[in-house]
Amino acid sequence: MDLVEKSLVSRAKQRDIHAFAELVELYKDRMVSFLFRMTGNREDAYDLAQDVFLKVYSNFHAFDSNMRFSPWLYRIAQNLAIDFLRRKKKIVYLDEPLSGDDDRVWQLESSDPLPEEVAEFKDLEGALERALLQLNPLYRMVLVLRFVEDLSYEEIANILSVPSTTVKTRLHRAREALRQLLVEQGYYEESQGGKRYGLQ
Amino acid sequence: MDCSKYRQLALEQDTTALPRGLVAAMNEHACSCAPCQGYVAQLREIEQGLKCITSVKAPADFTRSLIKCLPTTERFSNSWLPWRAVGVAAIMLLFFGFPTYILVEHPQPFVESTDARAAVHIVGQSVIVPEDVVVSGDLRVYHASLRVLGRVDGNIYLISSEHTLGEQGRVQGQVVRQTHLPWDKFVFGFRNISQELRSYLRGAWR
Repeated sequence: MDLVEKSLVSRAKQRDIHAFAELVELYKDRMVSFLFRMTGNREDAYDLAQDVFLKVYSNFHAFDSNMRFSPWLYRIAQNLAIDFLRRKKKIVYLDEPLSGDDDRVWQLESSDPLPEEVAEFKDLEGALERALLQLNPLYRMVLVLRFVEDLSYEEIANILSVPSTTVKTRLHRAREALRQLLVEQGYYEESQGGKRYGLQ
Repeated sequence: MDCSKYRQLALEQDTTALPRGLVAAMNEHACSCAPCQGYVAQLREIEQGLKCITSVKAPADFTRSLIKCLPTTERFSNSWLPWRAVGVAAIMLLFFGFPTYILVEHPQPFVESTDARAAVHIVGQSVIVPEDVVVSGDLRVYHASLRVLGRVDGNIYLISSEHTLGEQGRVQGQVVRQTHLPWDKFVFGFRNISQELRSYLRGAWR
């Protein structure tokens, strides 16, 4: 945490609204982006990001100023995202071990692409976005934190309150699960020299 | 090296940390296995794709609308503790300060003795040691006129008080006159309140 951010956090803890607003400005895009990747919906991401910052504001007294701010922020965000997904969709069993293929896929209400969406999925980004939303949220979370948010293993471990080795294992499985989904979408062929296929 | 072992190792972020022999075996496998090459290439492409995924930005008025939603009433935090202590002290002062002030300004007769069984009487502004009573210890009298009709086998301390000796009255020790310091007045006030409270509660219990 750089000095400016440390000073902002310290002032915001003392209920300095201007410092808090500056902190929000600093992190709002990262939060919205992260929550959008988790929920797949812009409006939900905006609402959740707002909830995250409101929770930060009301619980600032519990934050240890000697710790880094961003892992704490992400931890609040991931908790709210998981709660949101639990409410909105099916239950995510956080205590259940993530192994095998059974919990690899997160069922969407409708997993069939709409005709107008098909064109979008022909490129890797579109295919990845769709596959990400089909992944189990816990796999999705480590992928987003590692590759989209560009956080280190240690930072992710801190956010998820698990050892770094668990993060590595989860990431390994998540990548494989994502690849499998892209194979199922027809974007990749199953390990045949990596030749790429578009949909249909 | 089989394909599953190769694929597992190839996904390590830092293959330079692997033993040299293992890296050589991996290279050998990669050169001879096209499906594994494709597999690793796919995963690397996925990683790159995720890194380049378009980010979503917060709306322009995000911060402004958030600040409007901030709660106006805050939960108690540690910084509130001193203020709470001051509040409690103020309430205590109101409860006890006023009666104490009254008692200090209009003191009531008060007596204490080292002899707990001494049956002295308080009548109006007077403290009386009756004829047939023996006080086996010191007697301390506050704001009263002491009449010793019985016997006191100790010293008598008169605090803002007078004393008279009856015909049969005897005092074995000395009679010492003392004046109240301002702080003593408050101590006396508190002591008087507690005595009043005790006698009230005793009456209520009966």
